Amino acid sequence: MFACLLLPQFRLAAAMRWRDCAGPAAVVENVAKGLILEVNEAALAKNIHPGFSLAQAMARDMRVHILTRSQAQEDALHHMLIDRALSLSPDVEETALGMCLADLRKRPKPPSWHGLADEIVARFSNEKLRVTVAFAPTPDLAILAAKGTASVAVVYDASAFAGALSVGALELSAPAAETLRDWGITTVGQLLALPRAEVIERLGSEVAQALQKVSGRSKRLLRLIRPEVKYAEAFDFEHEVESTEPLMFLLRRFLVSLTDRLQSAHRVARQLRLGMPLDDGTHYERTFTIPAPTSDLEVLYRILDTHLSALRLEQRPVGIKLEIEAGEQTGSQLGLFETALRDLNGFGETLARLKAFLGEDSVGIPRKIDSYRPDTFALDPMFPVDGSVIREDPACGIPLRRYRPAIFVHVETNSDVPVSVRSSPLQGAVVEAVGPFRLSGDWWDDQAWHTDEWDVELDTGAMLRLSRVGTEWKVEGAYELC
Amino acid sequence: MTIGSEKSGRLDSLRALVEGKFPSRSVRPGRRCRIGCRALDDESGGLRTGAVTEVTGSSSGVQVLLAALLESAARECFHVGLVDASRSFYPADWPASQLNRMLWVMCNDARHAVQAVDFLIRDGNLPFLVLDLQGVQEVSKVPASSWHRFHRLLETSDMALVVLSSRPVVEGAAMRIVAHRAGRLAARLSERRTLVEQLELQIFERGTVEHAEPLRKTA
Repeated sequence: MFACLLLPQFRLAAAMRWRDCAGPAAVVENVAKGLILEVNEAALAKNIHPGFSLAQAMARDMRVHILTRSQAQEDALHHMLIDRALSLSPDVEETALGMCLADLRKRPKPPSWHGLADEIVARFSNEKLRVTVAFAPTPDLAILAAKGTASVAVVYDASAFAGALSVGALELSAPAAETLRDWGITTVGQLLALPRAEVIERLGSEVAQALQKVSGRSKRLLRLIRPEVKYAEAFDFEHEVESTEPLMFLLRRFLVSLTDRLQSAHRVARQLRLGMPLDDGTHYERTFTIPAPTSDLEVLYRILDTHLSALRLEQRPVGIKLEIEAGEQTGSQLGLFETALRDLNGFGETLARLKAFLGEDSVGIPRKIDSYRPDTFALDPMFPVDGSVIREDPACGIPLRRYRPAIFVHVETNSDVPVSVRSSPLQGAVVEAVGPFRLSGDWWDDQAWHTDEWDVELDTGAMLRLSRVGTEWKVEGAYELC
Repeated sequence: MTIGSEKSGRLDSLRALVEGKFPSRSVRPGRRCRIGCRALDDESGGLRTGAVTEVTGSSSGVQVLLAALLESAARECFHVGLVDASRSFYPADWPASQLNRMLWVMCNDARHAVQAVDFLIRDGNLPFLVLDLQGVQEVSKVPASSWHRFHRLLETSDMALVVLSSRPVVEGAAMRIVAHRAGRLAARLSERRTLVEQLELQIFERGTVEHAEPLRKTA
């Protein structure tokens, strides 16, 4: 069996997604010079049809919702459709925009094809989407069945199904269709009853191909895709957004859909990528790494909520996109005496709050950088996961407390050795001085630097680190203050 | 039965009733965490969990006591949060194994630092928090209510908060440690472990604790 999943009026469905549009609706390529591409049933009832101009549509009904086609929303919906098809079989063809074929011959036969189809339809219904699902012995019959049904179709007998099909379903060219109409042929069954060779001789190869499709004997090879499944949702606003409330509302709905897909594929979110096109043409983007990858809706939502509640932008968002980088659930073995954090995602959320409160560069796990330049370090976002033992020399001396920024002081020297520090509040005669420790680096480019450092003890008991660049002296930090 | 013992019995039953009704709010008995500093471990059995400890005195002594705590974190595999109100922590002077165990939160002033500590206590993931208020000018502006809030939050948890300050600022600290100077300039060549062992402390305690346990069990 082959399955065909079809989202009817795909462009309209994508544009209407996440919007609560009741009543007639139509989608146009572009509002400025728009001919209507697709309409919903309410619009058809008002006699509004594809191909109408906006003025014609508005003349039929002033309340018609005119929606602009959204590439981002169409992409997200198409990926979702492929993802659902891949949950049926690994052999999937991306037949057309909004249509997928899945080869089910290698999977065990389900107890009921109708039951399976109803299950798929229900999953799309949860997302407020209408899908038609058809199962048939050949790919082409599955497509024809999906196009011909309102919800679910299962073709067990190919010839009986084809016989009952309308000739219009073959989508023949106008001259061929007209000829058949003149002959009084309205169903495919009547067409198949005619002498095949003579029909092809009179109507051409187009009809031959159509007859081959409905014969139930041709099983064409699918153009299989091996896509990297994308977990993404997007929405383009009609107007600029002034507050975070609509963003959070949409993000939650995105996450409901995405986490459902993740859970059905037994996958977890490793990263969240939030993107927002802004009204000045720029783009805001932020990536969140999930400390303990999860598909839990609430955990993922809190991460976004924490970030957005502290976000201040000068420009206004005109759209929003959320993408999830998924991965497999992996377990990690802790060391025998390792004490793990109790709630890694809760801790990640607290770090996000702290970063929002204090600044992005103010919170992290400090890491030394391979450089001689004083006061260079990096901040890692989370504790390292590997418990490997670090072999290093034992630490020596009293740890320095660094002044950021360093304090400029006046230092008197004798034979280039500091003898007194004369600046309030740090002043006194030097009773012991160790140095100079000459440090330099980056001499190979224009970032070259050079400094001399001294450790000194004053008669007040204070122990300081002094640095000299040229003739300028600074107190870099203190070991002891008195 | 005397009136006093009757009152005490009624109080005990009332306490048991409240604890039964609100188990999460019950005060856990403080425990002792040895951090490998002989002056502290021998004298009082280690730092107290579920309470605020304040360390004041010589800045070199305070730094060496912090070194003992971070060394203990690396050895016993637990994590420490350092809330640095004056951005004075200098990673280059610390071993990578200790840095790997430490969350560094850099704040601009005491008010931000207290708020950051509040976040981390409520988070409850880090067994040890260090709030470094040394050299911060407006430390006296931290309202006493903040310290009382920390006491209440900590007494129902296994966490320990250690406040490093130039002078006593924490109202009602369960333990107050005064660190003496850790050495002269020549100490820069001494191993830090030696400095920790030679560190002299004065320890003042409020109240008692029920029992002592090694740190590993508390995390």
